[in-house]
Amino acid sequence: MKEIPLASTPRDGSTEQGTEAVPPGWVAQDAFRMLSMAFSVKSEDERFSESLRWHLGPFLLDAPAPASIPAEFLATDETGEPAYIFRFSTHERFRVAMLAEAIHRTVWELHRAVHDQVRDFLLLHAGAVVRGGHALLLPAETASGKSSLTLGLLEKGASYLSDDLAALDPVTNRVYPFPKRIKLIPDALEFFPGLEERLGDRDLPFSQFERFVRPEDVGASVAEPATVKWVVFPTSEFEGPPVLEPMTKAESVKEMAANCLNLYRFGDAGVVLLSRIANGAESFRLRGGSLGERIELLSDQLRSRASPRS
Amino acid sequence: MEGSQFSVRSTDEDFLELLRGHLGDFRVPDGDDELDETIFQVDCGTSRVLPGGTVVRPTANLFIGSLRIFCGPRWEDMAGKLIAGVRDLVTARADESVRFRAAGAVIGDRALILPSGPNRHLPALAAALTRGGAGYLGDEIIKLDPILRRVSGIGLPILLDVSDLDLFPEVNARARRVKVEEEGEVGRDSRTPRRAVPVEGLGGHHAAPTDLGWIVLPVFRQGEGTRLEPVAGAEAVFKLMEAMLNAHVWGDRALILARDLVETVPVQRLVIGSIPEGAGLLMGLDEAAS
Repeated sequence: MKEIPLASTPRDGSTEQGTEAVPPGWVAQDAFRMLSMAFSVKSEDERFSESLRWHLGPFLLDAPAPASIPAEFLATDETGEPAYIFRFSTHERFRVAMLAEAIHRTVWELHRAVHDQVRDFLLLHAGAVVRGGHALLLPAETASGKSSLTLGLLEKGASYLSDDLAALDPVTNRVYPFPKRIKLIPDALEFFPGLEERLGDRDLPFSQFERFVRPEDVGASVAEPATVKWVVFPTSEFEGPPVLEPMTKAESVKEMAANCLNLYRFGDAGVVLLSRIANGAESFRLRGGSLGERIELLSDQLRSRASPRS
Repeated sequence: MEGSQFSVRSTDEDFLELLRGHLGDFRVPDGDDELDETIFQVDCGTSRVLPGGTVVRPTANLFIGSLRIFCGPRWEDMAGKLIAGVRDLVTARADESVRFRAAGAVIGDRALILPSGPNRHLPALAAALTRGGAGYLGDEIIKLDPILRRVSGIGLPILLDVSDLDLFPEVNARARRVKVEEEGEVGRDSRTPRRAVPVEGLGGHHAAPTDLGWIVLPVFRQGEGTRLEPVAGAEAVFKLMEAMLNAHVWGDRALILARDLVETVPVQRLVIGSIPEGAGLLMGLDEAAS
């Protein structure tokens, strides 16, 4: 069946295109949609807005979607000290003194809000890429190297879905793109020679500790929704050569459930969805190997297992 | 209810007592601080005594926050409006389900849904099914689990249109206190007064979530013969999409789901000249299938 685009299709827009008519008293207002969470951010600081538009570029809309959640970014010095305040859905989420910290927290808060607000996808804490028309999920805990592994696979020819959040559709069992910027710690850049010069995150009004990579920085594009064909659970055991250990479907469901962010919303139906995913996919545990060796192993496996058609 | 919370403030304790009769099962001693709370405010007004001793019944007002959603003399109508507001509130964010404007009932061991445009007679059809022995799921809103294809309701009373109350003489006198001239007040569907009728008052029960078994598209044509008709697949998909309340959330997947439902579940149209006859035909679906 031919895909029908969503009513409000996110795009990776430029700062000029994404800016809405700004209400009096504000310097910028931008509309975004992350999966089904639509929101509109009014700001008193143009540097903040410019940075936010870059960080959330893939989710930028031309105009607010219906039922957008209101968000506000305030810059104040009422107490004699500068303070930056972020409100989301009328609740104050933080108040900090540094602008760089404010944008960092805002991006984090908005990504975190997706877990609470989005109810039409089962959300898995996982990297996700597409090779040959089929998706590979990399469910794992925070700081387990999902982003680096995802980025490495993009360099090897895969298309991008997400480095952190796999959105599983209850209707079609497919995984949908959540193409956030790929977040790396600076040390991880040494595994990707030549990449740092291509990154655009240092052109923002202020720099941050973490580095952010767009799929186009490594010549990759964002993939269409895809059926899951492989589920690989990277472990934090790096001793010895890299090995893909086959897992049973039951183990796979259990591990995916442990990495679900909103299984409580779906209950037993969510476990059924994970079972369907596991039934249609091969599951492995990835042990051993350096990051580079893991990327090579997975890339080779994907290439050999992907069907010629796709 | 369903992860939402609300409170009701009233200027008259008796109105709260009336409401407790319908919503008492959902009452909690303390709210959850983590949840946003919607506040319904009820101003029941004050009776006036005219010269000569005639008592003028006051006009009552119902507000959600500061927005007035009802103004009228009858508490029963106001209770109906408030419960409709509660129903909308608790289902508005239930986007883990696909929501339909539809009546729903369980016949045998399968769920029947009756997707429809706004129609004031739809709750009466649900009530007639309930009275006929079907498990009650919903009168105007039902939820479909897109993974298991299970239909669930909300557990609220049926909100019967006042013009259909005569079909249910067993409904208690207070809910049936309708003047004949009110027939003329029935205007646009959204303004039609509704009366809350407990499912148990019809001898029925609230059904647990149940696998979807039938889709029937009701068409109310008073005076015509009541009958089931075949319906083309494309039209059925179109009607399902029309009745889907959160298609904007599900996007292209809503259409995929609607098509899949039509391909896997029997779909018919029910032309309804008489609500009791319509309910009778629907109660026979289970036997026809077996």
